[in-house]
Amino acid sequence: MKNDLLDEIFKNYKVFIDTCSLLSEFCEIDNFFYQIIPLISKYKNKLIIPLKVFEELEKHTKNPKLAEKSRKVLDVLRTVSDYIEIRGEKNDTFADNLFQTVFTKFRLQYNLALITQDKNLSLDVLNLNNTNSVKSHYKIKVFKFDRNGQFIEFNKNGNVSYNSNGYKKNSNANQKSNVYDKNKAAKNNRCLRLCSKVTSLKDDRIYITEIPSENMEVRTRNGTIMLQRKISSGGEGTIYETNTKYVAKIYKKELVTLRKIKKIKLIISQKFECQGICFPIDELTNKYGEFVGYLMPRASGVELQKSLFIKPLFLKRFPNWKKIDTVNLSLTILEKIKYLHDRNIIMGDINPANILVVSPHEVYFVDTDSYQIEDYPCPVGTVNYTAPEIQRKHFNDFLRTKGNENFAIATLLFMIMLPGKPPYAQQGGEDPISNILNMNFSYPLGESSNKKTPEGPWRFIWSHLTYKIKQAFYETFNKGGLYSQENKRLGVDKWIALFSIYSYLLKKNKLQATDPASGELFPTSFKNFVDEEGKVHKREFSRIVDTRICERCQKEFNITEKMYRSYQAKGENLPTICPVCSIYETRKCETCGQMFNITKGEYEYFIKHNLKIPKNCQICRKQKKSISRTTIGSTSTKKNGCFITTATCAEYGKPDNCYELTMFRKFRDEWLSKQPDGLKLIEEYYRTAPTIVDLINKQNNKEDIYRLINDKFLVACLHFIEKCEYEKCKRLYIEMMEYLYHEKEKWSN
Amino acid sequence: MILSKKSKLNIHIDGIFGGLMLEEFDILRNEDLVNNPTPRVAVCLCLDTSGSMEGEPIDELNKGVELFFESIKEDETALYAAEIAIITFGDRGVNCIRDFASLTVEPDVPRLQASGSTPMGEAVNLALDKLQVRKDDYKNNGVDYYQPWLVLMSDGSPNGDYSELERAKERTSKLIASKKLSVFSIGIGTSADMGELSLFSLPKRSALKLQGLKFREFFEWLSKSVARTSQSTPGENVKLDTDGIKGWGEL
Repeated sequence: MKNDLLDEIFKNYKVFIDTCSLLSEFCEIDNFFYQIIPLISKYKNKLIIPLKVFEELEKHTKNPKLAEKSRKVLDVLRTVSDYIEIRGEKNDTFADNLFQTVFTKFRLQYNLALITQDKNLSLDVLNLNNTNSVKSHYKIKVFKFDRNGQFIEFNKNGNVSYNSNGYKKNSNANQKSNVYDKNKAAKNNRCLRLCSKVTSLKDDRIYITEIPSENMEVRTRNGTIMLQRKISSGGEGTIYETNTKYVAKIYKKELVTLRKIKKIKLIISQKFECQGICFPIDELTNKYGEFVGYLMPRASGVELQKSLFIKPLFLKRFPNWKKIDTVNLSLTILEKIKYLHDRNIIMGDINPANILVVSPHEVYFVDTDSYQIEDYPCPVGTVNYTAPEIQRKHFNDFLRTKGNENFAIATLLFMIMLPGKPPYAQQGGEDPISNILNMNFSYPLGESSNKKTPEGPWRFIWSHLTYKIKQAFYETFNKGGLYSQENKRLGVDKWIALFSIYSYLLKKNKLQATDPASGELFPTSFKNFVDEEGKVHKREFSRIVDTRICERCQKEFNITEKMYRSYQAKGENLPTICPVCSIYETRKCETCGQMFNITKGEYEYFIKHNLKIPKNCQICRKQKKSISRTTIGSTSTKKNGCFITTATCAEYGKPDNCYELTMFRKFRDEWLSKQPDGLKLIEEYYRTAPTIVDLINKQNNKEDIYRLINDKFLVACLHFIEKCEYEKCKRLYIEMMEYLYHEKEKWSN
Repeated sequence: MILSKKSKLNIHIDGIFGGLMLEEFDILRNEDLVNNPTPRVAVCLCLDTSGSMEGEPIDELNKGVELFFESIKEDETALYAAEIAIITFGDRGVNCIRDFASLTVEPDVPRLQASGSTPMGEAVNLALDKLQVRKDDYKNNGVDYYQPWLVLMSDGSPNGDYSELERAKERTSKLIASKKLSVFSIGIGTSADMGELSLFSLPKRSALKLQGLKFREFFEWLSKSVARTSQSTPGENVKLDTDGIKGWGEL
């Protein structure tokens, strides 16, 4: 046997042996081990025997022809058990197939040697050297025992082609070529595969002899470098400065897995380049040639988690920031995510500890080795940034979709806009997982909210966001929202568009013109709003602090923050009667002489509309009204309300006390007027409706218009009222008003 | 910062936490509650300050608590997440000498004095009441929070009211079983009633015995565990540094 050949392969290769060689008549197993045991000790490199080979040997002990030889081999293997490594699992397939699989897996990390007598297997395994899709600077060699019992390299005899594109036969780890050379780089904008099935590569620990630390050398593909000062230490490993401009991440011993190694190599092979995304650029090996980590550009700045997300730290680190700075920061972050998404890279574990902020225009993404790339999953994640559909799943067992990721993006943006506040944190909430699963979003859009918005500055900050941004969050986080489903969520491009507009509006002071606080990070009041005449109003404390049952009408009514404050200020107990029912004064009817009450609700209504407080009781008033009504839409109907409905009903020849009108009035008085926005709507209605009715009546096709109103809106509204779906009725009613308002232009011409 | 206000108010009478008047303390901690978005981890230290703790044990305990405060202050995430309350039993019966608040609200370390008996049951009940109130505060204000922690330390046997003791044990085991509370029962010295202490922390874990007077090691471990928790998201499983227990606990 050629000792130096064996020496060479045990020095530089992981050595595997096949069943057929062990059983070969040309192999003297004792002799072979005498030769290799010193080498195994010297290079701490055990001979690897797949479990399958072992099983085959055991099987052969029952085969009369091979029984004797296989028993002998097994005996020898047992005695040399310290020098062999049995690897693999019970369910591995055929040994032949197995070698191909194993060699495919490992050829990117090690020089591999196979000892086999099987010519076809030899050719197949050697052919892996020529795989074009993934290039390796490691080599595969095949050996066998020849007819003289000599251990020789398998002679390919021209059977194997080495001249396929670009493969360098003599390439080795010390080659001086510039690995960072961009000309050779894979196209920078290459799009990776978007996979749906996790790689079959095992994520089991790989044995690493030694983990380098401070002041130790590590090898890159480009030569040896030195680890210097420790920068930080985390769950996965340690980051060191090096004697290059790059920093090194060295994994913890137990965390190096085959899957990780292959994934890092794949990322490195892509030669990504995006300022601020700290991609691995070269792998690092220890003096035994084992993978221990990677080299990457250095990040700077401070974690979002330890700056923006905690108010005192935010104010300390970025004392001069305004709202526009957080908006621009969002854009900077979104652009980096876009770079990744455009290449089908899913960040996976988007979280505020992985994003470092220097300024609104300079951020660094770290822990990029966890990104999901092709069929390598992102093995980590945090609850807050995990979409409801993938909560409680094991991150290492599936591949995330862009839809899943878009949830994380929305959450990140929300938590930058409302610095540090998770979107689902709410009053009376459950734990964050349940809150996310419930998709019960507590911030209002218009009047729709679950009234559980967290205490503190959050509702103010929310109120100052632009409507479009609020809507985007609302529709994403609210159950049943337009963008609430995995495949419907807004992607990075949409968010960039929204935030660009936001940034523009702030830059041009458009938002600050209505309310200067809109430009601040932590406004202390709700956003002012502008009415139709362009007048700026302060928003009142409309938040509901309590809901009670009215002692009179037995219906629920709300105690708003404003009411609460005023009662407290007066030192009074909170009311037990709803505002509508509570009596303002008692009068004597001028017509019938009966006493009648005027409730606060009525009083406020009369005052609001500049009406006189009635001198007659309701019954007498009604009678008078029906007498005085002559023309539809005339001022006399005003007291009765429901212009449009009344007009429509009149058009259809229905009386004032018809079923439809009674129902609509009931809806208006008993439900709508008690809604937070109800009085406002009713008021608006009284302002616009009379002119609309007048206009319609002047049209030649007024029958058609009333028919349209009836068919398109009123029928459906009535239907909703009958089914007690008041909210739907309200929405349709608003829609009708908007429609009429729009048509008004046409009619007035 | 809001903390500067308190330095002038250094009166120590009942109803005052550290250097802050109760009212002011409440205002500040409620302000913190609504302004600080960080999910909270409430830690209640329920400490035996009975007569038997006098001398070296109480000194070491004081140093331990001080170290605990200092380590939490050093970790930015933990500082804004941890809300610490201290309940003592022994000296003047059962006292809540510090209600739940971040160390940014009340950074002072209280001095503990040893005297009196060991009304452990009463103390744990008060701790549980306080925890419940604070949890409600979190809920009502829409603040996320982690499963709270109760640290019970004693060097003797409970000798308060028997029914209070039984009630406390029942309450803790219910909370532990429903994963609403983590309890660490720590025995100090040879007279600590490990059996009784264990009844507070079961079924999750038995009481642990402190090696000698390694309060400082214990509190260092505790602050690290709090810091680690504060870096996770509420509801996530956080692995306890069990190896670290070897630094202070007898196994």
